[in-house]
Amino acid sequence: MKTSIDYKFKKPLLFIIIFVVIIYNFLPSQLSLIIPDSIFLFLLFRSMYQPDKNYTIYTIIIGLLMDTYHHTLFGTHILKYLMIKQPAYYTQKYLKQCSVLIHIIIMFLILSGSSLITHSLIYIIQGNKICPNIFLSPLFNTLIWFFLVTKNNNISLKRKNVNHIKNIQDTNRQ
Amino acid sequence: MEKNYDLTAVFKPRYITFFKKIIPIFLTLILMLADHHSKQLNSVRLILGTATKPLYHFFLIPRNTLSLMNNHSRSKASLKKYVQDLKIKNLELNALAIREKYLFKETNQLRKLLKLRQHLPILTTSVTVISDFQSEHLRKIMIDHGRQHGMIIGAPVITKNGLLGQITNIHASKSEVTLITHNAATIPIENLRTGTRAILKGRAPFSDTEILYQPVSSKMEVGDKLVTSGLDQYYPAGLPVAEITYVEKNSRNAITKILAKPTVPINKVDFALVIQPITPRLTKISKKQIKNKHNAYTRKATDYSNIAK
Repeated sequence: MKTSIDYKFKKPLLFIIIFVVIIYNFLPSQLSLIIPDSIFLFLLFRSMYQPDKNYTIYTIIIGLLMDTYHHTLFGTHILKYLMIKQPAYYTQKYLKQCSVLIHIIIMFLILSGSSLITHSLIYIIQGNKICPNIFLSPLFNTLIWFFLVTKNNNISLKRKNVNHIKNIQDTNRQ
Repeated sequence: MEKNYDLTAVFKPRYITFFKKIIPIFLTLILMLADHHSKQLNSVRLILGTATKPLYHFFLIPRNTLSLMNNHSRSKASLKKYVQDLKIKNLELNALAIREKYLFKETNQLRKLLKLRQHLPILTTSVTVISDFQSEHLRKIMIDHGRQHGMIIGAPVITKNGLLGQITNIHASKSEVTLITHNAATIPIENLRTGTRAILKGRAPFSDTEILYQPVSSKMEVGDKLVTSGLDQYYPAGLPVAEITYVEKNSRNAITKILAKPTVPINKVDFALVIQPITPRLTKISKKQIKNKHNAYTRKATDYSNIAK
């Protein structure tokens, strides 16, 4: 039986998603702070639901492309994308079982932590001041994540509850 | 006592996976430092930018299609009105230009009489803003002219409202403009009311600027207009830059805190003008003058030698 966790992308579909996601990120906008980073979300999704797959090379290529396009320091986007991989990997098992609110809070912490570390490094290297708005983008990313994933998360939670009730019933019968 | 060190412990799978996770982050950090400290990676950026240019244009197809559709959806009447307004504006500007030409000629003649340096005419190139990266740690825009079009680093960029920034990086067919609000941007300015000269500095991530090192006795006030002083030989004198919005005079501090808002609405720029900086043209002139002088001296020397003979 397929669960919500078993997301499997076929290769052509994966490339189409990457393509659409990059197009979205390439759209020049005046509101760059409040427009969610789709690549960020896509990579987060992959690291959460397909943790066994190694996508470091994809991350590096996309990050380099974004750095060239945005004229930021080489490595800024790569670092930002790599920084979400580890926390997402280590918390994925817990996140799939916890309540929606805790799930969202942890996701916000992961996203804002990654953003804060990257901006702090840029501050150390370049001396650019850290803007108080840097948490706006993670906030919007978390909101989008909420709409994307919570439904599936609820399904998994329900399934878990059903299994838990069945177990209790079995033990009672015995 | 001899200790037996188990070297195989280092190559355990869990250590290998740990290093696999850490190494890309370290490499990225090294890349960031290298990009900041050496200029060699600029050429890599240039090559990568040129190589991915078709890809970039391909990615922009949806946006360009949308904007094209938006342009087509404009009604005929609104377009007619827009053209009429432009024609009226053009007439006004023409009248101003004639007047400006006359004044320019007059001031240059006066300067000649007073044996002062001549004002050079401002040479401009019109450009279009192709992308805008005003993220939290970046205050830059891209224009559609690059090395192919004769752009040079340091050239000031203006709009109809005043100074926008300066070209800081050039690619083959596009250039990077650092805005005046970038915290690395410094502009020598002059207060129009008092004539005080000072240095204006960007305050990124904030969207305003700050006047540096003004004493408590400074006579700058809220509402004063600031223009370029032209002392740096890059920005021509008299370009509107900003307007003072905040003055904090504290007797405890030796320096007054003065904030100024740029006259150009930085988030809403579509077209701009690139001014050719004065310094390269001045150096060209001085070289020419030196050459002429040298020729005159050699001529004189040959004349004297002929007389002596």
